[in-house]
Amino acid sequence: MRHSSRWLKVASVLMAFAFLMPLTGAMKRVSAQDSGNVLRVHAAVYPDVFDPQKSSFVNEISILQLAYEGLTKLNDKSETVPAAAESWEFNADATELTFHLRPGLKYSDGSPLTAANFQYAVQRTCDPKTAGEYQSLLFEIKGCAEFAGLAGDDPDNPKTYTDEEWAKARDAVAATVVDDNTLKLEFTQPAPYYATIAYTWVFMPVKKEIVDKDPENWWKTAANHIGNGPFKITSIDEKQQITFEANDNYWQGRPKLDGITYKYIEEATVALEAYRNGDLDIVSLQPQQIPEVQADADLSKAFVQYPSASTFNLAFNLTKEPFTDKKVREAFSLAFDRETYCSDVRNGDCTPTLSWVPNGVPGHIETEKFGFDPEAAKKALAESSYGGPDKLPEIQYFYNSNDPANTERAEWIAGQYRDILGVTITLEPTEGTALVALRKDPSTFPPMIIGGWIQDYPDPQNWLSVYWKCDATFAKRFGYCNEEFDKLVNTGDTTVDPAARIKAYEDAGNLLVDDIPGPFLYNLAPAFVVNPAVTGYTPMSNETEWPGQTGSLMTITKASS
Amino acid sequence: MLQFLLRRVIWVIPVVVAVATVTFFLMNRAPGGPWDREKALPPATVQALNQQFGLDKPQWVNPGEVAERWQAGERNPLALARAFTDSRYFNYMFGVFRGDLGPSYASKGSQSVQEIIAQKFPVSLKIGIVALIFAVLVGIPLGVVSSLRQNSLLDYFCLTLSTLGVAVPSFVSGLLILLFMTRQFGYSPVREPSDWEGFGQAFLLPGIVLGLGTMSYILRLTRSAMLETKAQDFVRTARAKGLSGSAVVNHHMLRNAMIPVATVLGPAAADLVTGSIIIETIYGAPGLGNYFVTSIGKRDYSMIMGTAIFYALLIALANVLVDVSYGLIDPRIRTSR
Repeated sequence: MRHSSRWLKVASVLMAFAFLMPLTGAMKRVSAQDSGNVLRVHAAVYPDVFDPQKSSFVNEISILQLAYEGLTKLNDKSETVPAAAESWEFNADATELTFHLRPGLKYSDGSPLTAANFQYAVQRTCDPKTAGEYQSLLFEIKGCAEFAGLAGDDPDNPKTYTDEEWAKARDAVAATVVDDNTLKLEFTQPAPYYATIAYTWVFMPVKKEIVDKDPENWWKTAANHIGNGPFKITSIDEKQQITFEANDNYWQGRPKLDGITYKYIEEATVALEAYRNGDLDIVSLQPQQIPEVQADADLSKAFVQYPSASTFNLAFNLTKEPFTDKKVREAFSLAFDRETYCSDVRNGDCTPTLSWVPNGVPGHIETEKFGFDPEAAKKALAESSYGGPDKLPEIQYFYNSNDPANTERAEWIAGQYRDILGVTITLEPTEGTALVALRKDPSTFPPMIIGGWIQDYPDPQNWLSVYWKCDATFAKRFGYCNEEFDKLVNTGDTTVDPAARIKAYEDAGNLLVDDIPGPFLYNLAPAFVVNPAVTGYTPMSNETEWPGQTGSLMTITKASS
Repeated sequence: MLQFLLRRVIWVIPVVVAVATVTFFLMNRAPGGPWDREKALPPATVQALNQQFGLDKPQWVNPGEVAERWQAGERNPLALARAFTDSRYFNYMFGVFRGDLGPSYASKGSQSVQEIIAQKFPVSLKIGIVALIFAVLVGIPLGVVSSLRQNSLLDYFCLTLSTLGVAVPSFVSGLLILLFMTRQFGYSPVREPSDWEGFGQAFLLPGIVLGLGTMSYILRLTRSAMLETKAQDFVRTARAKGLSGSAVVNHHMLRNAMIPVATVLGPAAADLVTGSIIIETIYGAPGLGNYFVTSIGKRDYSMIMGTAIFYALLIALANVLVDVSYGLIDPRIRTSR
């Protein structure tokens, strides 16, 4: 059998060649090179668009916040503090807000930054041609909603507009440049929370000259990101990394870090491995990784976790049986063991809550109502119009099947209700976008589903009025409407005196707890491993991408001094 | 031969049109649209976005536009026909024939789908080529050796290897191999952007992992085809007339055994070079595979269409190549046409 031995030789050489090739490459050990005072941050998902007036996702905003700054900003206690504007004042009834910019503000390239740049940000946000996803944040500014609505809002009856109409509508947006350092906003109604909104990304002053040259594509080139934030973008490699370096022209001076690198790694296991290998300083963890990290002697020392400004609840369709009955809703709230759900089912990536506005945001209330109590739950169900579990109609629980972990969670929830209340729940795994489509309307809104809110800006108006008012998009979808609640939040939205304002929101929050529109369950608690050499940061509740990303940019550092 | 080739290439066009049409209507049947968000957008914003991207037009045909033009006094049949086809489907298909696959909605129109494909495909192609080379260079020799030494220890080893290669999903093998390389050899799991330019070693590991399944499949196919030909009369004849062992294997057995392998190799090649979301995610490769899956979740309509058309085109062309290669491998097929 001569031939086969020759084949064997050929095959074994080929095999050896094929398998050894990667090894030889790997021998060039790409060890943890000295990265200097550059923070290497893991980011999971590369953003679709990071243009301040178009962006809407947290991963987009975490880039913009390094390179740009609005009129105000949040400090590490989530308070609104001066940024590009050194001061501001409302008129007596809070329908006008005047910002005074710091004199001598500069862009990262040294060119002057004036009130006109912020006016442009407002106009561009409201522009129907921009159609940014967060333009509605500015609908309280006079003329903004009209400008944005030039194309109409009825798909069966679209409107067209001429260039003149467009220019006229743009000029009608009530953001007025008083002088180079003064910008005045006029509102359709009192808006005492607006200084906080001025921190959001839609207010970030992109340069008109740059955008005009290429309105769709400008943001993809690093050199076009001439901003006013503490860092500037130096390179963009799509789906791979974005690098930033300290901006010497920032009004507060140079930050302590020399630079930041966002490394895009979607696979959580790979990111953690890269941390172990010394290639990353901050890695965000998936819930299923938390136990592994906590059990590891080294990693557990680098473990950082804090509650975020996001509240999740069990949302019911309030227009359909059985959740039209408040006693049934009460039973479902009392039968939910939030502690076990967070610690065991979600591996500790959340903290239980019984109210809507999260701790740390003004308007937060503490309550004990409708927490886990199996006996009381059974009693409540017996007191309902159904008299017990037997006469309840079929209840379907919908969940997003894109995340495999959700199946386990759904099964646990259904199991709890079966064991405690004797209720049978049908599970309906549904693809993410299809689920969003179902939630658009009360006629298709699922009977039971996990709902929630991730904060846009730390003001109770964003938590209560935007979500729960009778005419709010969200409340309308599942049919919540309480006139008394509306009255309270309207008072909050329009009252200038801070104490009276917060009191109105707290009362509204308590009313919401009593109504049990959908049992409040938990606040998400993002988890990270952070290189112990990184110091000078205070994690805050809106930092879902990495600890220090907004409030600690000037002080966070890797240098030991 | 040329006529045959031309006929086969022309047939690609209706195939791609059919795939595009079916994809278009299936995709529009899926609930939800590109502007659906957890936090709902106001109707005015959605309207403006729809207008920007032509999503305000009817899906199939536009009789309303014809009626409007007719009212306005338009009588030119060509203009009316264009008005009738001023719909999302026809506008898209006209664009495809001009080589325009439309704007990607997810990037808010900042990138056209053909640009994304042009940018991302080379990385997937290179990984795919490594995978293909690995699959062929390892799969075929091992299959041959295994068949020649049937029921030997080596044969059992190859069978086990190929069973594992087919059965272990790439998200397991990919991760395990990466962790092994990192922990044993200090291979960094993080890539620099420049690693993906040119033809560096960064492509090797993902390529080999991607090729494992195909390699195993080819190994099994080669082995069984070789075993079949081994028992054929013409092999015995070749041996009887005194040909050397290697001549029998190379010229008589392998050539015949290659027909089924060539058949699977075409579609497999198209599959490998269009990229795999799993491999690209694990190895951080900025390839095209990602877009196939994520575009569906985002209802990024033109991206779904673009990737489907591109994939269909590659498969159709790969099949043409396979048909041509039959003739090269087996003269009987050449003459029978």
